[in-house]
Amino acid sequence: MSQLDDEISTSTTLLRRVAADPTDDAAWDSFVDRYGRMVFLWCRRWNLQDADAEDVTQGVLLQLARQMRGFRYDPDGRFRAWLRTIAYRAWVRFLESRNRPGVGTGDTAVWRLLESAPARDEFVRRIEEEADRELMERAAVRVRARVMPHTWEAFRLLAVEGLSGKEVAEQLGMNVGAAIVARSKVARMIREEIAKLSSAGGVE
Amino acid sequence: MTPCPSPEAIAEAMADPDAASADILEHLAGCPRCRSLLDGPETHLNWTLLASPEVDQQDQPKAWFLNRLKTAVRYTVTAPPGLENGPSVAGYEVETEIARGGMGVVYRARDIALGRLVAIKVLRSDLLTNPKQHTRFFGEAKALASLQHPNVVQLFQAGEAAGQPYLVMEYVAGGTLRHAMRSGPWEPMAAAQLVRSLAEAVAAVHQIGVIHRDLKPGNVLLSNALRTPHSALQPKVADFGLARFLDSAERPTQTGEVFGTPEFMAPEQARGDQHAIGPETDVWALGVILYELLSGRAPFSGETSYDTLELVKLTPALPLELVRPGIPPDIAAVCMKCLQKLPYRRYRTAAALRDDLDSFLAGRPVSALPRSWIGRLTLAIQRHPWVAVQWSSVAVVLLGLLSVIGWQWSRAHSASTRSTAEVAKLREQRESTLRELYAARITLAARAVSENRLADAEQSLTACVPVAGDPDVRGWEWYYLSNRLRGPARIDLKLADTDRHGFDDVKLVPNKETFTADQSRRVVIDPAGRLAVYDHEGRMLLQLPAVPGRIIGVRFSKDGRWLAARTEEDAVIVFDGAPQ
Repeated sequence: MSQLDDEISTSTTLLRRVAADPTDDAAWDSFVDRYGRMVFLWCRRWNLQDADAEDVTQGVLLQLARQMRGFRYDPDGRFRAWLRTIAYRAWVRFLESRNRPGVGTGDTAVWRLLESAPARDEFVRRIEEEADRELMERAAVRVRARVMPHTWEAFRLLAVEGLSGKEVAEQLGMNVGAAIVARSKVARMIREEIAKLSSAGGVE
Repeated sequence: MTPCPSPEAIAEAMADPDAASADILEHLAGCPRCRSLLDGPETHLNWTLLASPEVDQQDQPKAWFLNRLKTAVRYTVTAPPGLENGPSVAGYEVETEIARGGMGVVYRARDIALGRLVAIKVLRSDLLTNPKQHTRFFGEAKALASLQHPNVVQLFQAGEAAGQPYLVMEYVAGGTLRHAMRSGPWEPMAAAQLVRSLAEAVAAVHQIGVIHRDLKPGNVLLSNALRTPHSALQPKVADFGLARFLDSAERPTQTGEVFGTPEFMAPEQARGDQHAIGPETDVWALGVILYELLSGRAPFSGETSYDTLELVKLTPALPLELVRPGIPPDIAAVCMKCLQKLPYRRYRTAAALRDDLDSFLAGRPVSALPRSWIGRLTLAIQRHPWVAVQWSSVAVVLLGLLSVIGWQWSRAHSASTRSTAEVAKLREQRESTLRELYAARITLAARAVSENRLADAEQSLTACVPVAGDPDVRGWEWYYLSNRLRGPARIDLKLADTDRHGFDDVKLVPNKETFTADQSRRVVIDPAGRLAVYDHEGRMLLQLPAVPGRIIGVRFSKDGRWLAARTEEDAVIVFDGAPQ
C-alpha cells in the first residue's frame, strides 16, 4: 500500500480531482508525488542517468498538467479514454518540446529508444496502470478498515502475493475454505468500492 | 466430497466467514464450481497492483526534485491562459514554448514577412511588477543591440506588447552545450576548439564594454544539429540577462548580492565583490566550461549552492591530470590558469585565452606553461637583484650576516696566511646562515601564500634559488610552495583510490612521521594535528594547511615528490612537491 496520500477520505482519485478543479494545489502536489515518482522510476528502468530522468519526468509532468488543463474531462464521457488521450498527447508534446534550443535533443541510444512508438505506448500504459493502482489502493484502504485483520490477510496473501490456499491456511492458522471465502469477500468489497470511487462506472 | 451447498448458503458464508460451518468451508476449498459462484462474475482486476514494489533507494527521485516539480506544476496550471499560447507580437506567429528560465519564457515563432524562425523571449509574468527585473530584462537588449558576431546570438527587435516586454532573437536549433556534454568528456582538441570560439565571442562582447557574468553550458546554444562530431559544433553565446556594462555607473543596491549559477561563478562573484568583476570573471567561467568538457566533471560542485560557493572561494580545483590522466599538459595548464582564484593571475582578457588556445591547437607552446620554469626564475633573478629586496627584518638581518661572511670568506681566499681550516669553518658558517635565511624565506612565502599575496610569495621563493657557488638548500617544501603558486598542489583522495595513484603504502600501519629518501626532510604530525616539515638540523620550515578530519598517518612517496596524509575518516590528502 505504497505512498497512499493523506486525503484518503476524499471520495475520488487525484486525476479526477485535478481534472475537475485545476486550482486544487494539494491535489497537484499529490499528483507529482505519485505520477512524478512513477515516471522517474520508469526512466531509471530505461537506464537514464539522474539528470536525464529528472529532465524527462519534469517535461512529461508539465505536459500532463497542461493537457489536463487544456482538455477538460467530461464527467459523462469515458474516463479511460480521456486519460489515454492526455497521456498520449503529453508524451508527443514532450518529445516535440525537446527539438528546440534551450533543451536539446540528447544524443544517446536511450534517447532514440524513447522516441520510438513502443516507448510512447508503454508510457500511456504505465499512466493507465498507475491510475488503476491509485484507484485500487484507495478502495483497498476503505475496505481494510471494515474487515477483520485475518480476513484482510487471507485476501492479501492469496490475491496479491499469490500464495496457495494451503500455504495461507497454514500461515494464518485457518481453514483453507475460510481463507478462500475471505479472499472472495474482500475482492468483492473492493470491486464495489472502486465502482463508487470512479464516477464513470468502474475502471473500464 | 459433500454435496454442493445452495447459493444462499454460500452467500451466507461469505457475509460472515468466521461463522461459516466447517463443512461448507471444506467443500468450498475443494470445489471449483462453488468457488466460481463465490467470486461472482469474472473480473480482470490485477490485484498485484496492490503489492508494494521493492524499489532501490537509488532509483527514487530526490525530495528536492519533487518539490521543485510541484512548484513548476503549480506555476504551469495557474499561469494565465493567454501566456500558454505565447505573447502576441505583431508580425510574428508564435509556434511553441521552447524554454523557461529564471527570468523569462522563450518561444519559437515565425517571422511572417521573412518566413524565418525566430526566438521570442518574454519576461516571466510574475516578474512583470518588479521594476528591477524590468530594467535587467532590457539590459540584455542593450547589451546585445550593438553586437553582431557569428558566435553571439543576435538580437533583432525589442519592445513591449500589451504591457509584456519581449525580445526577438536569432533562433538556434541545435540545443544547448549542456546537452552536448552529457555523453561524457570531449576530446581535448574539440574542447579547445569550442572554448576558443567562445573566448573569441566573449572577447567581442568585452570589446563593446559588456561583461556577460553568467556564462555556462546552459547559456551556450549550438547551431549545428547534434549527432555531428563535436569539432563541427558552432557555439553561440546567449542569455545576456545578467550582463552589465563595464563603465556603467549603476551598482546593485545591496552589496553582496549574488547572481548567476554557483558552479560557474568566479570567486569574486561568490564573495559578492561587485567591484572586482571584470573580463577575468568571464575568463573564469570559460575555464569552468573547459574543465568540464575535458574531464566530464565540474571543478567546483558541492551538495548545496552554499557548499559550492565555499569551494569556489577557497578550494583549488583538482588537477586535470588526476581527473583525466593522459590529458595534454598544455591544455590543462591553460584551463588551470583560467581557474586561478585571484583575477590578475588568470588571463587578463578573453582574447589572451583565445590566443593561448590557438597556440595549443597549432601545437605551439602555450603561455600558461613555460617550457622551463626554473629558467624563468633565473630570468626573474637577473631582473631583480636579490640583495635589493627587503621583506622582513629577519631576512634583512640574515642577509647582512651573509654578506659579512661572504666578505670574510673572500678575504680568507685572497690572503694565503689563513689556514684551510678557517676557510672550511667560514664555508660552514655561510651554509648554515643560508639555511637560516632559507627557512625565513620559506616562512615568509608560506605566509604570503596563505594570505593570497602570491606575488610576494613568488618573490620569496625566487630568492631561494641558489646563485653561482652556493649550495642548493631547497627541499620538498620549496617545490610544494612553488606548486601552490601555480595551482592547488593538493589532491583529496579516498583511501580506496590510492592504489590507482601510486600511494598504496599509505594503507600500511599509519606512520607518525616520514622522511624523504635523502633524509633531508622530516614531516611529523604536530600536537595540533597539522603537518610540520623539518630540515635535517631540526629547523621547522613549514606547517601545512589544516585538512578536514584528524590526520593519523603520513608518508612521502618513494620518489619524495608527494606527501600523503591519511585521516581518521580514511580520506587521503596528497600534497604535491613535484619539481616542475
